[in-house]
Amino acid sequence: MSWRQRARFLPTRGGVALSSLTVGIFAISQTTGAGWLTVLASVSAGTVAVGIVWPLILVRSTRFEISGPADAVAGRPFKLNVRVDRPTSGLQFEIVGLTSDPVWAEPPAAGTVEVTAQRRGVMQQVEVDVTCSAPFDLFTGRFRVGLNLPDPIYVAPQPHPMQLPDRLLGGSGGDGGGAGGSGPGEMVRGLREYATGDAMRMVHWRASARRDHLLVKELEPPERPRLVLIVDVSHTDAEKAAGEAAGLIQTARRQGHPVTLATYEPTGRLISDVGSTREAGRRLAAAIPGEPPSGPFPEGSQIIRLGQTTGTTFS
Amino acid sequence: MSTPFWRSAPVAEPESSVPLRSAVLASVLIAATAIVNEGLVGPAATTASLIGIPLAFWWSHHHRHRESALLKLAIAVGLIAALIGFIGQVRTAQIVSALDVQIPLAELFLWVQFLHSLHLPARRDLMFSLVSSLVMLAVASVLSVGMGLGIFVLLWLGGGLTSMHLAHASRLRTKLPLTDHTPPVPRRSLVGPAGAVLGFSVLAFLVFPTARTISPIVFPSKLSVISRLLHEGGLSNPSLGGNGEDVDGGFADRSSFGYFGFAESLDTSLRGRPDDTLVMRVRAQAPAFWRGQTFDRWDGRTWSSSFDAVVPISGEEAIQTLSTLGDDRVDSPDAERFLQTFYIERPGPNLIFGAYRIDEVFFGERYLLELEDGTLRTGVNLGKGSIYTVMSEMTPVDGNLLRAADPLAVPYPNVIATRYLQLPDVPDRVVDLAREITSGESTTFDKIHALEAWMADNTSYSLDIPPLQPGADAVDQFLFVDRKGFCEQIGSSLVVMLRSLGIPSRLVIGYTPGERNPFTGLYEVKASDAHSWAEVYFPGVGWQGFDPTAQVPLFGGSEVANTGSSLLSYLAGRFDALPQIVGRSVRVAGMAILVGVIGLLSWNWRAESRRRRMRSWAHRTLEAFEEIGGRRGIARSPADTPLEYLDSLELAGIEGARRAGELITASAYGSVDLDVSDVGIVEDLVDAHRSKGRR
Repeated sequence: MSWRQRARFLPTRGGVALSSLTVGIFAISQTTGAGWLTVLASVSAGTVAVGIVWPLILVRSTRFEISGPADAVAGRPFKLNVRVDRPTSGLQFEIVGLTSDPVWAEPPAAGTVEVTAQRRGVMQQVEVDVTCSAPFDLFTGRFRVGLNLPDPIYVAPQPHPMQLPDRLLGGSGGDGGGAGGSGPGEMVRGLREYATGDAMRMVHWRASARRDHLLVKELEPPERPRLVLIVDVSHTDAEKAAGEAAGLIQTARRQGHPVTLATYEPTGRLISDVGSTREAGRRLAAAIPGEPPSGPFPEGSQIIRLGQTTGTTFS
Repeated sequence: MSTPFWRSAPVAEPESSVPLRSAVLASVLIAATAIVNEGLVGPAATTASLIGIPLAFWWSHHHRHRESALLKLAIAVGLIAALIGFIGQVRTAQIVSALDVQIPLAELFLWVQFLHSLHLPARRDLMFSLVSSLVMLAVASVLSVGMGLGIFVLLWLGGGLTSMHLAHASRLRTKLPLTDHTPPVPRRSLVGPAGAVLGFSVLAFLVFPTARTISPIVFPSKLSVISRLLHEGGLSNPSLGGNGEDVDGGFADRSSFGYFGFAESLDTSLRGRPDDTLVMRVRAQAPAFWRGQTFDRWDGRTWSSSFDAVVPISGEEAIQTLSTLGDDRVDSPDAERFLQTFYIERPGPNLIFGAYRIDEVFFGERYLLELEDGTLRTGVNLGKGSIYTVMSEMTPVDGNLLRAADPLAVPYPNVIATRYLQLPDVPDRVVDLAREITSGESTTFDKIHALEAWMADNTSYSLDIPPLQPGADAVDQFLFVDRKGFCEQIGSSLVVMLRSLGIPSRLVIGYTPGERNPFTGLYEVKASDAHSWAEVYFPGVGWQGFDPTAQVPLFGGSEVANTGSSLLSYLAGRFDALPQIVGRSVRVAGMAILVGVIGLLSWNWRAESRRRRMRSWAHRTLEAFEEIGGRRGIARSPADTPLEYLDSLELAGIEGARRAGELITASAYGSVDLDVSDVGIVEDLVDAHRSKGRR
């Protein structure tokens, strides 16, 4: 447990009612001389005192452990594993900064809490609002505690549906279905015997004539243009930029384009290829405000800048 | 379909916890019984409390999911009727004292609680009832003068703490639970807080200022049974035997708590002291001597009163007393009005007791008889349960004032000298002794102190003195022969010696303050607290009491600062009476502890056997599933947990196996008491698959 705020106390409605009654009974005992009223006022005061002190002891002795998945996506619920070892009376808690419902526990207890992160980022710590009014619900002790996670949770931005730029779409090549011969970007890897069903345009006529039987061309798969994303999360539209980057990466990878991501992270400027959507999510989660690297990038790459106040630009 | 007007929308959050409802009901019933136990409320309110409230709780629980406008209307009408009844009772009762209002008010509380109990759908309604029960207990506390209320306070504390604890658990459960299964309320989690509450309560009780009567706002008075005296104006004392009026000495039928000083005359040769029976309780802001009557005529052995004429006095509310012989008053801004309420516990003399000087009396009959010396008698017997309130006016005086108002120097009426200097033939050595002791003192005040000091040094208090020989002078016997005696001898000696010096004085009979009970706030006066002391007349100041026997100041004693010191003193006082009290208390406490321990052990045994049963059920059921799985070719590997194994059975088509696995795990390892319906479902599942296997 890394830090803990000073506990705050507030009376509940029951606490206000009992405290007022205690004062009233005591005042009446002082005017009527009825000794039993003093006893009753003492009993009420004792109950109020325990109602104040007990939650104080309980919330101070609370022990939490929280862990979560390695990866999550902003706006999509995920589960945190929570374990509460002390105190031994019921308490209520709520995860701060993440959308979640208040949860109650009767420690020792362990379970899961469904939460939703509203923005991307790397969660090293979770804040929990702990409330306890045990055992009599007269006064509520409340404090906030920050808990270090055993492993960070990478909250990736939620991908925005994005279309690739025309140039990438045009250069995607497709299945090599041209009118004849090898088209631009098609590289002949070798020749083989003709097999039934081979397209006539794939016949290598010169070699066939030389060998006196039909030979067809074997082509290298077409090389997709590289997509380079320069994501700057320094500006107010940072979340939108990260979401768009995630969307573009998703679309580009689906279509087979290699992707290079340039961001600014706590370790400094970083340019590297992203091998998977998960890796891309972690990179985008880790991006922090700062000027991302502007090169060098492989020749022929499609470079897209995201997150600048001028808006998304393509170059 | 539209909802009829008498059935409004369902309640937002009906409370379904039966334990919580039961705990609140218990608290309410305890508080209601505490009021009923005082024996002041009528049969209708008693029935509404003890039978109506449980039925109302039951009704309310079963109708918690819907609200009826008709029911609310009926409750409102009932409340109005109860209020009208209360106003009617108060109007017809011809209010004399606060007690006349308190009893109808207590009844009104009971009726309101009964009506409120009809509509307790939600948790907040139940909590309101709990608060209401505390108010009812406070009402009972005002009415109660005995120790019996203690058990109700303790029981209510148990019920109240349990209610609040269960309400807290119930409120928490409206949120999402961290774990999938809802654990039961931890049984032991209330023990610590309850112990802490007791500790804090005792601490608060010790430091709280003692309950005081700071202003004359209540004047309780009541007569238990009106039994008029045969001879109005005469002195009646049933505790001395006979019909209480025929007191001619001897007192052969005297009860153990009868004091022969509360009679027409006081024979100082009589032996036998009253026992420690509680004869009355006094609510007062400070201790004082509760004065009953005076004697002015001494014959060497017996005191009697020369006042036989009685004057009836009455009043609409308070009965004002008359100014009697020697009732001089100091015009002082420090004069205090001192309120005392007397609760009679044993039939005794028809005397009105009170600190000197009684100014007003609040008495149920509104009629009293006053003698010329200020002694107040009632026209009826004062039986157990009788209550009256006395307002005294007390003016603090100091030595300088009394020295200035010296009866040896300042003239005073002859009638006082005639009555209060009367002496028979006193032995010369008594007179000589008085002169010798006081020869060095110039004022009456100093002479009194010299005489008291001499008696303190040369005589001792003893209840075991030899019988007075016929013809012997009691004072002479005490001062020169026995040199020991009890308050009658000591007080008489002081009065006789003072009279022999020409100082007007008289013997007073009454009670010492008694012990203050820190729980009830009342002074408990025992029969053995009966006492006699001297009063001396100071011209312009009036009668001042002097007690040569005890060191307790006669008036203006300091108030008890806090309940703690009072409690210590009370407990120290109880130490003397340990054998009796211990005997009684040990029996009662022993029985209570025994019942409690048996209850606790049975509860634990029941819970443990249930847990054991459930554990063995879990093993049996798991074996049954292993058998079913084995027939299907799914054997349980040693590494499989029950949950994993039953999961695999679920995947193999045994629907419900996963749920059964959860229940088996919860029962075997979670110490959870399963719901009977859950157990039934699992067993049905086992039976169904076993029978399939057989076919």
